[in-house]
Amino acid sequence: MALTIGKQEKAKTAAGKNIGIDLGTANILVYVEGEGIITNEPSVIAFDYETNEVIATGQMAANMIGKGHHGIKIVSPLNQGVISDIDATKKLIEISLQKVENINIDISLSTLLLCCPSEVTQLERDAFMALGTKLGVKDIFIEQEVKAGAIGSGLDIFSSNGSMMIDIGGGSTDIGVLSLGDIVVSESNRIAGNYFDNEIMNHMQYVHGLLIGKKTAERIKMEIGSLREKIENPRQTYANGRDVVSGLPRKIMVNENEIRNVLATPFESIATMVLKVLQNTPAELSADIIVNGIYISGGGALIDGVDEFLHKRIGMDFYISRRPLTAVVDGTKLLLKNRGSYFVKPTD
Amino acid sequence: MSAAAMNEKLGLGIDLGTANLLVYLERKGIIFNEPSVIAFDRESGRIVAAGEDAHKMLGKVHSKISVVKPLRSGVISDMRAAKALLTYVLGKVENLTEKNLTKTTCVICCPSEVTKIERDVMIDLAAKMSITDVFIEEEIKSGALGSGVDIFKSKGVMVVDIGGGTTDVGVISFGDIVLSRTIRKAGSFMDDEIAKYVKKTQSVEIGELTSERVKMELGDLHSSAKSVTNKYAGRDMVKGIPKWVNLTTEEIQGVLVPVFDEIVKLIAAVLKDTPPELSADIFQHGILLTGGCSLLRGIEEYIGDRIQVPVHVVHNPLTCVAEGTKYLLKNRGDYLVNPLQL
Repeated sequence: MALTIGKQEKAKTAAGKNIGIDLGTANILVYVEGEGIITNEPSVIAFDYETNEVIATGQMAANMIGKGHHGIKIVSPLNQGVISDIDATKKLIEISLQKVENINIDISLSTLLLCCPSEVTQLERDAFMALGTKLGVKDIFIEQEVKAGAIGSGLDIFSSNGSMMIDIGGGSTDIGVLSLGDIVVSESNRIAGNYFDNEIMNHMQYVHGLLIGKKTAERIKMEIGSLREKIENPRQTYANGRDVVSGLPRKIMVNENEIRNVLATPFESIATMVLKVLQNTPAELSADIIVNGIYISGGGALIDGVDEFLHKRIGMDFYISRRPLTAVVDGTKLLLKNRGSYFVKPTD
Repeated sequence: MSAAAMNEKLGLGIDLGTANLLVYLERKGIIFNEPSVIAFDRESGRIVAAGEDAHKMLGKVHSKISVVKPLRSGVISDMRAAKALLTYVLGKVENLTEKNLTKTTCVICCPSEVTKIERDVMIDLAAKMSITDVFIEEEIKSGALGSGVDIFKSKGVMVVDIGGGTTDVGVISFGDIVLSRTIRKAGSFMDDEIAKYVKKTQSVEIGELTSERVKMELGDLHSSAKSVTNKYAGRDMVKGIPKWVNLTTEEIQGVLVPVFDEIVKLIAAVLKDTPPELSADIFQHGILLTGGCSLLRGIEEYIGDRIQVPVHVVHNPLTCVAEGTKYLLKNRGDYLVNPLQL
């Protein structure tokens, strides 16, 4: 008797669920209905070179970046916001779903929502669909990240009150104006987190003659990245890498002002892009935006003074979303309820 | 309701205005009084919103919705949308089936000087709704009746209806119109003029809803209007980014005055053609002002000063046309039958 109950329970838990995935270049976040956000880790996966077995995923694999030996293949399955290695992406999602204890999700019965950057080509979009098919999901739909991000940031995009959202992620920066539950104007480019890291790496190489790894560049950005015009007490951090000339390991100190100058250039292009979107916005929505301000989400929003920087260039009010890193995946929660239809307003 | 009552003909009065749609249903009163705007889903053609909700969407929609104003300058410009809007409105009424509609008598109010074709379009619209018994009446006649004036006496009444799309001026006596004129300059024209003015002087583009708000908030025709400055948001034409503009009552008065001068000219022209006996009546009782724009501050003073005839705004400028259909339905617009005495 007890056994049958156990079986029944298992059968029940193996049912399909609503799953929302923010498949970012930098991080993968998975939301499962009734469970919350179950995964929030770097989208990196490590394989054994010979057997092609998965060695590590997420944070563990990210720690291996730039440090692996020839027996390990480390893959970032997404590049610039879109899928570049579909098999690795599939593995990554499967493992993320398996990691959760006490739930047994039958993915083929689930509804899957994938978030993608705003201006992806049809081919890139098809890759997202193909991923769903590979996972065995029949019911899959794709939504733009800005839309999910705006909902996740707590904006009421279903009213006729226009709002504007900037999502500075790892691979792409998306900007969108939303009203009545959908996107009116949107723009996307690939100047985002990874691009900033590359800029820092280049800067270290050309100015200091120091080769640093991706991870170090990212750490510098996170620790002392800033866009403030006036920095009172510049923070400092060390950068260690290999000297270009001597080939020997070297460690130098970098300060906030230096990194600010490096980051200012890519953020100028983001500001230009914001202007471009505003120029294409209908006048009535412009009027709403000047009242409501512009919201920033994504990892890039965590760079100190990003709101101040954009405010100086554009003049609107900028606000950082409350949980910039999880805004998109939080938004999937609501989008799963109405399947992204602007017509149906999902209520909590 | 008894079977006899069900078989009775149902009266339906429609004031299909450029700005607002009002529907009067016999025994129920005015069942709809909202902007004549409708929003469709582009893909499925499904109605997303109508009336007030759709009006809020003007200039704010994404590519999946199209927002349509079925009327332009007082006449139907989009038949499909007009039909959808009316169907939507009537669909909201309980116990009103298509079968009932075929038994309905319907009066549709239209501006005075519309062409035969434009009139026929209105009848077509009713026919599409499977209403066969339709007649068209002029808005000013209905408006005068609705504001409680007994037009069936041998007393001349002059009505000026400044609506959304058209301004109608007419003289009524013995239950019908003696003469009437129309210009297609009214509320929405003023909104456009305001938007143009802001564009020209400040190089800022403002939306349809905003310019309407400017008119309502700052529109004041008093010669000694209290100066008020308000802040409105729009889009900078040069830089393309949102921008605040300051507008004052004087500026808006400067924009509105030329429009009202034309209306005054129209009133003067109608007065000139009015038979002298009726002129005397009008001079004695004054001009009746109806329509949404008669809510503008100082309009009585402005027109009164220029025409030298007293001007009164009716007590229900927005709904009088629809309320007037109540009486028109009783006598089918026949001047010989005074519905006020029925």
